[in-house]
Amino acid sequence: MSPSPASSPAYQTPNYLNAVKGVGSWLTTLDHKRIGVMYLVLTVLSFFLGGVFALLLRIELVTPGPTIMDAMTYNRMFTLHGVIMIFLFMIPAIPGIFGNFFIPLMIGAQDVAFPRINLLSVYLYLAGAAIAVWGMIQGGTDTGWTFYTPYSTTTVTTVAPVLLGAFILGMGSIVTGLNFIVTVHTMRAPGVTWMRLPLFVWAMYATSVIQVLATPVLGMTLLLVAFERVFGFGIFDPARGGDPILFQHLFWFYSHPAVYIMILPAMGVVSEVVQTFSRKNMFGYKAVAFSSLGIAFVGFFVWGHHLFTSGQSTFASGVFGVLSMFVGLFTAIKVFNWTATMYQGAIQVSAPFVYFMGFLYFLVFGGLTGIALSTVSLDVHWQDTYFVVAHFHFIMVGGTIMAFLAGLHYWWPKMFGRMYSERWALAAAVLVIVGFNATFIPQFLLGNMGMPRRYYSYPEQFWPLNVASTAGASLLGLGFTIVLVYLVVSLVKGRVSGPNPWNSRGYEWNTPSPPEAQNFPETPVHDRGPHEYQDGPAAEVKHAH
Amino acid sequence: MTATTHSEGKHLGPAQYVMVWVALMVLTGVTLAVWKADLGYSARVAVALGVALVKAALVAIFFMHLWEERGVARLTLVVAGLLVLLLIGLTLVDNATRFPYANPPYSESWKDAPWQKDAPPMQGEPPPVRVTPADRSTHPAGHAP
Amino acid sequence: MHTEAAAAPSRLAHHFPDMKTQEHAARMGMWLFLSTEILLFAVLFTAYALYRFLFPVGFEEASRLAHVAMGATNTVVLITSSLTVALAIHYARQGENRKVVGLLAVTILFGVTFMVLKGFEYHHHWVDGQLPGRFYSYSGLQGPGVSMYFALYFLMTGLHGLHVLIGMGLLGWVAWRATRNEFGPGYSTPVELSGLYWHLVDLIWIFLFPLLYLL
Repeated sequence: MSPSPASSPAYQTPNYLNAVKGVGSWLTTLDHKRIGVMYLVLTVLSFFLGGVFALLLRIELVTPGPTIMDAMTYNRMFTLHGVIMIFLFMIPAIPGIFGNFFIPLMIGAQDVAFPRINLLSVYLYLAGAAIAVWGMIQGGTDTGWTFYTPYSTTTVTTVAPVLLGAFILGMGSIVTGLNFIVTVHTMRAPGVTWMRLPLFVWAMYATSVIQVLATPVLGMTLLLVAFERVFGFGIFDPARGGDPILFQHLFWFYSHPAVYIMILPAMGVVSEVVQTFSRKNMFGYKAVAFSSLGIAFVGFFVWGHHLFTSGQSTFASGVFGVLSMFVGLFTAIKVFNWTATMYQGAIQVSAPFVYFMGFLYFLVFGGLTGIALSTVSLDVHWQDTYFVVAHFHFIMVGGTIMAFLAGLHYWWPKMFGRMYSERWALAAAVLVIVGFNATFIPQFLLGNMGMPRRYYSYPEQFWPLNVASTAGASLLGLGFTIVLVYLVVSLVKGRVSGPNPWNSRGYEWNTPSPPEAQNFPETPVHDRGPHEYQDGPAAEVKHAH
Repeated sequence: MTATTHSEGKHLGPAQYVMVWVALMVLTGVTLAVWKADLGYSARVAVALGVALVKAALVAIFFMHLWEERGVARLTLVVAGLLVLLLIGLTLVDNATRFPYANPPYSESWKDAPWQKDAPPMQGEPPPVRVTPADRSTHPAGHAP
Repeated sequence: MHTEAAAAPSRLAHHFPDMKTQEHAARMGMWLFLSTEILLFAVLFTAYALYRFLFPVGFEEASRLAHVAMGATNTVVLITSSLTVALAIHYARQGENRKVVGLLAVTILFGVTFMVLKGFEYHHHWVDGQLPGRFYSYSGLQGPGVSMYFALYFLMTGLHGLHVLIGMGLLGWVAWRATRNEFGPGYSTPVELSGLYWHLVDLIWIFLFPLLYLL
C-alpha cells in the first residue's frame, strides 16, 4: 500500500502513510488510520475471494446438470462463499475500514479509546480467517454458513476449524464494537455534542451495540456445535433429548441482528454521502439518528422469522412475523429522510452519488420483499427458495456493497490524497448496478417459481433464468474488477485531490488529506454541526458535468 | 483529583462491605433452609431464584460499585440482563406452544399439557424417570435412542 | 505520595485529555466486556431453561445427584472471596499496597479452594458415570432429560471454572503489581477492573448454584 514517491506535492507533506516506513511499522501500528487501511486490504482481498466462489457457483448453475464441479464441491463452494462474505467481508468491512478511519476524525479525537485492542482486532481477524480458510481447505465444510444442526453435527466434512475461526472472528468484532462505544462516549471533542454527532457515527454506535451484545451468543453457540461434534453431549441431538431448533434460535439471536451489523454502517455511510452531494444538511437529523438505534433495538426481537418452517410454533411465528415488520418502519424513516434531503439540493452527480442512488433503489426493493417474507403465510411458499436468496442479496450486496463503494469513492481522496478517474468510476458504477439487477431479479422469479436454494441441479424450465443470472453475475464481477483496477492505479497516477475535493463540510474533512499521523495538532472545538450548508458563507457548488 | 467520575461522598468503606457480605451469607442460608424444608416445587423455585436475584443485585450494586458509577455501566448491565430474559423468554414461548411432536421425544409437552389437547395420541408410553439407588444393575442403560 | 504523583502523568495515553477520562473509558470498556460475558453464559442458561421446561422430572431427579454440601461450601467461598476483592479495591484506592497484596492472596487461595472442591465433585460424578450425553452410564437414575442435565451441569460449571482460573490469573498479576507499590489514590484502575471481573464470576455462580444444585 505504500505510495510511490510521485512528483506530486501531496506525499511530500507529512501524513500518516509516510510518517513511519517499513512493513514492521504497519504490523505494529496503533494508528487507527493505518488499522483502517489494513482492514481495507484484508477485507477487499476476502471480498474478491468470496466473489470468485460466487462466480464459480453461477458457472455451475449455467446448465441444469453438472457443469464444472460435482455436488459435494458445490456444497463446499457455497459454504465458502457464505462464510467468507459474511464473516470476512460484510461484518468487518465498513466498521473496520471506515469506522476505524473516520470515527476519531469525525469526533475530534486523536485515536480510538483502546488503540492496542484495536490492533488486536486485526490480528484476531487474521487468525480467525486463517483457521477458517485452513479448515475449509482441509475438510471443506458443506453445511452452509448457517451450520444448522443436526447436519452440522453429523456431516463427515470438517466443521470444527471453521466454527473456531468464526468464534475468533466474532471476538475481533466484539472488540471493535466495544472500542467504538467507549470512543464515542468518552472522546468527543468540545462542541461535538450527541446531537451534533455525524450520522455515520450514530450508525456505527448502533452497530457497535449489536456487535457487543449479540456476538457472544454466536460464539458460545458455535462452541456448543463443536463440542457436540467432538464429544456428543447431545445438546442439539433429539436422540438424547436435545432440540435441534434450539440451535436455530441461538444462531439467529445473533445472526439476525448481525444483518443490521452489515446494513447499519451502510446506512451511516450514505447519510454522509447524500448530505455532501446534495449540499444540504440532513432532513430530520434526529429521526435518522434515532432510527439507527431503533433498528438495533427491534433487530433483537425478530430472529424467529428465520424459523417459520423449521418446526417453530405457529404462535411464535406470528409474533416474530409482526415484530419483523417494525424493522421496515425504521428503515422507511431513513429512506424518506434521505429522499427529502435531496429535495431542492444542489445535486452533484458523481460516482459516490450514483452508488447512493443504487443503494436507495436496492434497499427499498430488498426491504419491501423482506416485509413480504416476514408475512408467515407467504414465507411458507418462499422459505429456502431463491426468492430469499435474492432478497438478502438485494440488501447485502445491493445495500451494503453499494454503500461501501459510495463510501470508498467519497473517502478515497481523504484516505490517500488522490482522485480516481471519474469517467471509469461512473462507467463501473453503471456496470455494477446493471449487473446486479441482471443477477438477482431472475432469482426472485426463480424463487417464486419454486427453485430451492443451495441445490446443485434444477429442472429444465429454470434454465433460461439461470443463464440470465449468471450473465449478470459476470457483469457484476467485471464491474468490481474495474473498480479495483482504477482505484489501485489512482494511488500512483491519480491527480492530487487537495484537502477537500468535494467541498464537504463533514467534520472529517477539516484535516489535511491524507491526514497527518497525529490527527489534530490541537483538540478541535466545534461550534456547529456537520454538514451545515445553508447557514454560514454561501456554499461553493461545483457541478461535475 | 478533586472531581472524580464518582463522587467521593458515596464511597463505601470496609464496614459496609462486611455488612453486604453478612447479608449475602444470610441469603445463602435462607436458600439452603428452604431447600431443606422442601416446601414444594414452586415455592422452592420461587425462593431460590428470587434470592439469587437479590444476591446478584447486592453484588452488582455494592461490590461492583454500581452505586457510585455513572449511567452507562448501569445501563449496560440492565440491557444485558434484559437480553438474556428476551432470549430465554421467546425461545420458551416457541417450545411451549409447539405442535408437541416437534419437541424432543418424551419431553413434557408430549404428555398432557393443556394447550396440546388436540394433538394425536402418542405411540407408546415414554420411559419413566426411574430412581433406583439401591439396585443399580437391573436397569437397561439409557432410554430409547 | 511522591512516587504516585510522578507516576500519574506517565500513565496518561497520548489520546486522552486527562486521567479522569482515561479511567472512565477503561471502566466503561470493562462493563461492556462484562455484558458480553453475561451473554456468553446466556446461551447455556437458555439451554438450561428450555430443557428444564421440557424435562422437569428428569432435571429434578438429576439435580438430587448434585453434591449440595460441596456446592454450598463453594458458594460461601466465592462470596467471601468477593468480599476480599472489594476490600482490596478499597485499600488500593487508599494506596495501602501491602493490604492489597494480602487480600488478593487470600482471594486467590479461595479460588484454589473453589477449584479443588469442584474437582472433587467432578471426580465423584465421573466415578458414578454421571456424565453428559452418550457418556452417561449411571444406572441408579435413568430417563428422559437426565443425561441432558449432566451435559448442562458440566458445560456451565466448566465454563464458569475456566473463568475462575482466568480471574485468578488476573488477580495474581494485579497482586504482583501491588507488591511494587504501584497503586494509590491516583491510580487503581487495574485492581478495580480485575475486581469487577472476579465479581462477575461470583455473580454467575450465584445463579448457577440454585439452578444446578437446589431445583
